Amino acid sequence: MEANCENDQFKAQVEAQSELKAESCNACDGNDSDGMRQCGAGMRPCNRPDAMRPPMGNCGGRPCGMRPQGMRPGMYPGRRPGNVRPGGMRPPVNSCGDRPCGARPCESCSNGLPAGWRPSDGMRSNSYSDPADLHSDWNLSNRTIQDSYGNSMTVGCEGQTMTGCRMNDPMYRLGDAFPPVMAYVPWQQWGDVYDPECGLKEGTIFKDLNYIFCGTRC
Amino acid sequence: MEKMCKNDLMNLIQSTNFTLIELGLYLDTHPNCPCGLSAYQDYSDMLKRAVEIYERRFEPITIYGVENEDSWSWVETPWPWQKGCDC
Repeated sequence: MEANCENDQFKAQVEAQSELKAESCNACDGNDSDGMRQCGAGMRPCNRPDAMRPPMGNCGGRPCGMRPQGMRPGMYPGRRPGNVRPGGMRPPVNSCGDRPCGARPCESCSNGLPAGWRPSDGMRSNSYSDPADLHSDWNLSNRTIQDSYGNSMTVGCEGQTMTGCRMNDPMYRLGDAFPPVMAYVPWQQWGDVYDPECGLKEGTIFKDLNYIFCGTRC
Repeated sequence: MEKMCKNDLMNLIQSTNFTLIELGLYLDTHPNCPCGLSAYQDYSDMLKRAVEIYERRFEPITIYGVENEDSWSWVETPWPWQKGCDC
């Protein structure tokens, strides 16, 4: 297989696909009630290279590399998405243990700590009325929390500095001001995919899941 | 693919393998997506062909690729930690 032919073929496909992106296959949007998901009459060929050996380094106009899989700004590596907290300043809020369903949260839960844990002396309050207040209160020092039996553990990101895009990320600056919510994860739809080599460098073959990551590990 | 050097062919195998894993994860939640199924089949065929060429031209990738005719070639080629770029 000749590389030049492959490049030309791939370029032609990319050009054609860019025009068809708005009409890309949406047969898998999860909205079909009968479970028989088929592309509609306007279905176009999938956005993927048909060549056996796609050309190297084509990342849809962006440079390859340096972007881990599926990471959005503000996500910590090593944490499950469900436990990601915007501020990153406290441990994930666990359930209230033996609290009956629907019962009013106990005090230790309402302060944003795992059940049975309470702030130790010197721990700052988590109640903010104005997110702007967080800006002056922002710090990355470790904090110690203590359970009702006197056991303590240290949480935080001591030694970590906020620089660059992370400093400007409003998600980080809002921190604990976010109220509890029910999360909604959009259903992935078939879209642009990278060629294998670019996908391996990017950490995902799905362009829709490839986000710039500027965070650092605690 | 027949003319690719050993290193390029291995890179192709590894990247295609990753692509198939990604597509498999996608298909776990979209088992009836024709686009995903078609892409998986194409890249699966590509991987099979690349592996066949690599093992025929260079060395077995897995123990299942050993052509046990005259000798046990599995131990005749360098181990992963002994390999360097020979392109």
